[in-house]
Amino acid sequence: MSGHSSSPLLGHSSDGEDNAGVDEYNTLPETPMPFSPTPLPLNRNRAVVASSSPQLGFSDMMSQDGPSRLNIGGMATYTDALSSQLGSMNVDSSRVRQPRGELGFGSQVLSSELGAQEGAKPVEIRTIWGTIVQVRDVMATFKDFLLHFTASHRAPAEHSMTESELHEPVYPSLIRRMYETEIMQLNIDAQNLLAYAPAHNLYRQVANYPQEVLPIMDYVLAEMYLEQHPDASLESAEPKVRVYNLGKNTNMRELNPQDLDKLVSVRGMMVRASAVIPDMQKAFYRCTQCEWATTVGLDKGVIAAPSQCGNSACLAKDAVELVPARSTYADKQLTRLQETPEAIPDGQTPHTVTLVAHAELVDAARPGDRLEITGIYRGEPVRVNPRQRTVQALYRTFIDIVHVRRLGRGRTPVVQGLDVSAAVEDAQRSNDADEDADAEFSEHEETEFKRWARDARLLDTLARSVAPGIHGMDDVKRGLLLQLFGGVRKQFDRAGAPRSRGDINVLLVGDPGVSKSQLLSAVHSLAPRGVYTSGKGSSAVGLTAYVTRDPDTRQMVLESGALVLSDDGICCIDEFDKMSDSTRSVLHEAMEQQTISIAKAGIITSLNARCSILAAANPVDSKWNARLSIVDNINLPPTLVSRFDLVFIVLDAVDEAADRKLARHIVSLYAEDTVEDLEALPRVPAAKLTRYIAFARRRVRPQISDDAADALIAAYVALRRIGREANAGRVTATARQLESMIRMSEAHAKMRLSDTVEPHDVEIAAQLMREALREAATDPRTGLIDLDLLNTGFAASDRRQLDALKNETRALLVRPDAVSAPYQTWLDRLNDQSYAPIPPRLFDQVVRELQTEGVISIVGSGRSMQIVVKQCAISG
Amino acid sequence: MASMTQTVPDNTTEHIRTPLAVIHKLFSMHTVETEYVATDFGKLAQSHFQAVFADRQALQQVPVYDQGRKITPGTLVRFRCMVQDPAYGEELHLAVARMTNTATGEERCAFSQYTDAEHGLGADWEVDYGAAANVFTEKEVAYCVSVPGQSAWARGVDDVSETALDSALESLSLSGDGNTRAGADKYPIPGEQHSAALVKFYAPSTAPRVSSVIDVVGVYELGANTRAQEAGDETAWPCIHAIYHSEVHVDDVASALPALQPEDFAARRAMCVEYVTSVLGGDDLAAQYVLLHLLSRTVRVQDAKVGKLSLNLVNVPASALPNTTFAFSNPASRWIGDSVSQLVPYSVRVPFDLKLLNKSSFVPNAEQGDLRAGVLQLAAGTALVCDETCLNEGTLDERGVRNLHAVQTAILSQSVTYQFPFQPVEMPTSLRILVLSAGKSILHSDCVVHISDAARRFLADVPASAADVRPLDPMHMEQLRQYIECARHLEFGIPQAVSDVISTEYAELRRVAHERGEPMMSQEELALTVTVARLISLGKGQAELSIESWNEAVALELRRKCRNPPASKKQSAE
Repeated sequence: MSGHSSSPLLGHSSDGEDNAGVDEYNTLPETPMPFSPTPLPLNRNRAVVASSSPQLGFSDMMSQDGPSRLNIGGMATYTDALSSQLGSMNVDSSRVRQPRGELGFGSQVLSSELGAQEGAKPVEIRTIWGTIVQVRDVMATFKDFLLHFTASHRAPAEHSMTESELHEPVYPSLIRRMYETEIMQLNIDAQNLLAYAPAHNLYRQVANYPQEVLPIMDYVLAEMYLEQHPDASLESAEPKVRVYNLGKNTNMRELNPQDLDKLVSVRGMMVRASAVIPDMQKAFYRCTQCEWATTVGLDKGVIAAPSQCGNSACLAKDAVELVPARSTYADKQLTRLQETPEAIPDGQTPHTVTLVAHAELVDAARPGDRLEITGIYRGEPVRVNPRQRTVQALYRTFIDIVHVRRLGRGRTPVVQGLDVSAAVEDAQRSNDADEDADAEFSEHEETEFKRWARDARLLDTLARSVAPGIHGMDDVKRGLLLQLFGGVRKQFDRAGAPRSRGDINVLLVGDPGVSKSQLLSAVHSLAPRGVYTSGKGSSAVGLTAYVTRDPDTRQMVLESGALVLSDDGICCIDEFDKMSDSTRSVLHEAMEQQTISIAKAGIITSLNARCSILAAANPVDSKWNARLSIVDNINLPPTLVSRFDLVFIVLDAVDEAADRKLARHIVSLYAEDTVEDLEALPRVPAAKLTRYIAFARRRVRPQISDDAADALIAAYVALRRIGREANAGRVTATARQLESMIRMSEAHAKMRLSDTVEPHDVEIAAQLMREALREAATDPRTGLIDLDLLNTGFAASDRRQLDALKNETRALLVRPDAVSAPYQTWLDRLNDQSYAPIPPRLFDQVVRELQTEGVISIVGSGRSMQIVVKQCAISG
Repeated sequence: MASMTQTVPDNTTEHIRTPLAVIHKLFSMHTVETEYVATDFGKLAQSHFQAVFADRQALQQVPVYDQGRKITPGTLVRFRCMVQDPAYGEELHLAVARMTNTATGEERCAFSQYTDAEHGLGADWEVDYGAAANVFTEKEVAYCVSVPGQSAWARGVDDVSETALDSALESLSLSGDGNTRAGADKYPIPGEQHSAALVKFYAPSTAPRVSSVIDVVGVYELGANTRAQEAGDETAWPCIHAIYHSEVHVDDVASALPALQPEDFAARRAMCVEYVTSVLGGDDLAAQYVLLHLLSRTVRVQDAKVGKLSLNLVNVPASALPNTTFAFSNPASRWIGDSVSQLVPYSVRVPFDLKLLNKSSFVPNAEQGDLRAGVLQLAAGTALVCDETCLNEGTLDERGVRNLHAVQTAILSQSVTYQFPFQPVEMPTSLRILVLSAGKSILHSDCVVHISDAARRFLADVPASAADVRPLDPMHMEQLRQYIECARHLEFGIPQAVSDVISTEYAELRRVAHERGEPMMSQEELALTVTVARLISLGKGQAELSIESWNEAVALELRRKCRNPPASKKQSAE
């Protein structure tokens, strides 16, 4: 084809050979010029055509692939039939209402069918065979639409467009952009067709007969394009119309035979993409004896090799061979689309559908992308017995892609710089995106949610609905609920200003057997997205991301771990304390910067991991020791603990009334028939709560009101004052706690579906904060809140002990006879002096500090660690 | 339609030998309208065949589908199977095609359904693809396998028919033609003999849920596998075109015995305990717990899973024999596993051999396109016996860790996570998991029982060559199986009065323990005791918890804890 169709056949082009083609076309008997004085070279390998199936439709009628086509035996009939069809397109009453059973393979059958009608009376109206669609009408309507459609036809309720923008035709400027960018694709929002009264019918036509109507639209577009830009060349690619946003998505499970050959729109996630397949469109054959050559086109998915040389002087048998280099190919790619989790009915496995992408649409999306595909649902015959050549009764189905629209990571469609749609990013698109997101919540749902939001008991009702199987723990559940709603992510415009996360991290620490894991899995099931993982089983790799080699392509691929997969959701990590050190170090970055950096196998990148973390940890001795502080109780570095907004300590306390209530709750669970309602408060079913959370997360971005800001300041100051009053050196609140408080107030406002954060929200947040602090940051010796415990692991009382110990150690070390000894020896010596055993943690800290002061240096690590006293320290 | 359903039993043979001819005859009696063919004809065929085979005797005549046997394509078969992959693809079928004879110009409408073959009119006929009379119907394709872990006796219950025996004899002369080549990774237990087929469901029925167990009656043929064809493999596959199917609740074992009466429960229970005690060398405490374990069934109440009792038997003698397959090499474990399979219809064994753990996949995985089965893709109610006695020192790689984690999740939350690309899907399951270990298990089970040293010696003496466990006659075994199935499916409730007693007792126990500074009873222990009480009640055939059962449960728990070494108390609390 490269020899023919790629060189333009336009009037102003001066390609002699191809002009011959035009001439030939023009001289065909009984064939009036179908459309325009400038016939266009339209590519046969358009996306709407299954490559295995020659397209019947106007793309062929219009294609001027050159004279060779007309010379091939079989093809001649084909084209003849089509041209006769063009010439004398009957309204054959018996055919008008026929459903279109053609599956895209039967051009030969059809052409013979059409050929049989050649003698029929010429009638003035031309329709698409088998339909009542009139070609001229379609052309005229579409042209009118392209020329006259303006944004005012869609008239969005709120728009930022000026009057002139509103009444300026949309598409001519987009066509100009096509010219400038040389991306020959024009996205047509099907809703625009519906909004433009004269094109109303066209919407129906393109939806029902896409294989015929789309090529006509392409043709009209090409015509307009050349009218606007007479100097343009269509050498590299022909303009294509990409219809999208049909307004109705078909569920993958509901595609049925009635949808065959119709335009459908399905949503899902692309899970696999094949390599790009060069799909042979035309085979070039040459006789090895006499150099006679011919091209053979695709017929029913098969290219029939000539068995004999066509040169009458040669006629050699078995001497004709294929010349791959001179054959023509089109790109083709098989991909598979899988249902998204929301669409899967409960307890079932996701369905998939095969997609076929052609030409420009190849590689338009990658596995993992959420897509909305507009395409033609088609069937392809399947051979049961490969040895038989008869046409079968069995078909496999697939969708020929017309348009690919990427949906955002959350469930909101996001306009992306997708090259195919780059040409059409107009003001309208962003409106579409919003409308689309809204469409996912029905009006009924919306009113219901708004009614909920006004309920004064909302927080308690919703909190109780989190893990209803677990009794009590109201504060914890409240915290988890706020975590589910999340704060607002802030990006300050000021240069150099930090990015502030909006995600709330929660840590649960406590006795075994208090349903921490159940809480985690309950949150996991409610979260919009997220991953549940156990610290014990996951390496750093499992939590972050790793580089692997794709088994198919042998290329390096970045595979996301739990944190990256939970982007914009909640990552639940059980057994947080059992995690290896290397994994924890990755978490440091993830929790504050919200990114994961990768530098492996030549790939250096940083991935977004904007997720909240919900972690559960067990105390060191499996049982919480009330005499120790949190840092001593859990085996976690304080730097990591301080990154949690809320730390809840869940203890197994003895309280007779509560115990009895709890026992009754558990027992009632075991009686299948009676589920007694212990609380008067109603519970919200999990599915509804998920929807509510999604609704709030998507719709509400609360701003902090002035009153709330004052309240925040007051609460922060109050929290700090607790520290100052008692005695100096204790810290109760730091900037981190202020940030946490802001996030939680925002989350509470979100929960109320309120656009502003009110003082009441702050009150709740501060109360929760105090609740969590009281348990987590209480110094067991003094019984007072001391945040240094969380931040450095050392409380003020520790600090004093530490200083004493340091002096003691220094005195011990700085002696001429003690130069170097193992770590353990020093510790033992110190213990000998002391009446109470010295906690190794304290000694570690002392050693670290002395090292910083330059008194000692450390050689080796672990058991063989040696402490070397520096000479300068001794002499000084 | 009413006239069609009145069929004389004589034509069962015709229905079995030439089902497609019967279907054609059925079809020719009706009008050809798109709507009709698309759904109503499926209903008609379904009810017609259901009526013919409503009689148990008639159904017994239908050959059981088995890949080891020779079955003539185009005949009727029945297949009790597990739906391994319900979304194996969708196909369209040109059910009614208008055909033209190229030689004579004759036109005719051809009908074909319940087959993949073309309309079979000969080479001269061509389909008129534009014709209005053409009707497309839809087929949903599911990949089905014989139910994993089906006990020998459960298989025997169904096919004691002459037909089956005949074809079994026939199959002796048949060479096992490579039916097993592909799809080996679609059966949960690697390397085990099984049958598999693509089952094609016609409207109005749809493919059932993943891992459900169904009885299919349909037409067998070697048909098309469109999924494999996409990858270029065009070989014909064994297909069953389902005319009708019914969900088999895995637990309702069809039994020839008369229904179990409430007064029989006590006697049967005693018999059962006696049998299990003999298997465990006289350890009656362990036997009671094994019986409770077998009676357990996962019930989902709100978000909680209730009624499950995974059991860990500790102190089982280990053996040095290596495991290379999923059969147990340790004679003691095999002895217990065999005894369990005598009592339940589906039981699967998993030896925790390092090599097997590292090599095989326990969770179903669809990341490479097809849904591959994992060892844990099992029918609801399956008894899973894990042998930890064969675990030796060595490295457990990432896959092994994931596999163990999957077993642990199945034990604790009764769910299996199917790995679909980019989105793991958590499926509820209902497995009875029994872990055998020599010492403290690496897995955390609901309940840990140390078997007595006498039992240990008994099990160590079980000869390596021991054949099947056969201590009772078949009739009594049947009674035990019936008892277990009936008891575990009873509805259950707890009266308010009993509930009050339990909660008061619990609060009191905790208060006393706290005062004495002893470890307090935790929520989990309470839940376990309630579960034990529940299962004791069910074992007696009582649908309500009585105070006596509760007290029995407390006593039983006390006995169990006394026997377990004190260290394990801490373990079970973890």
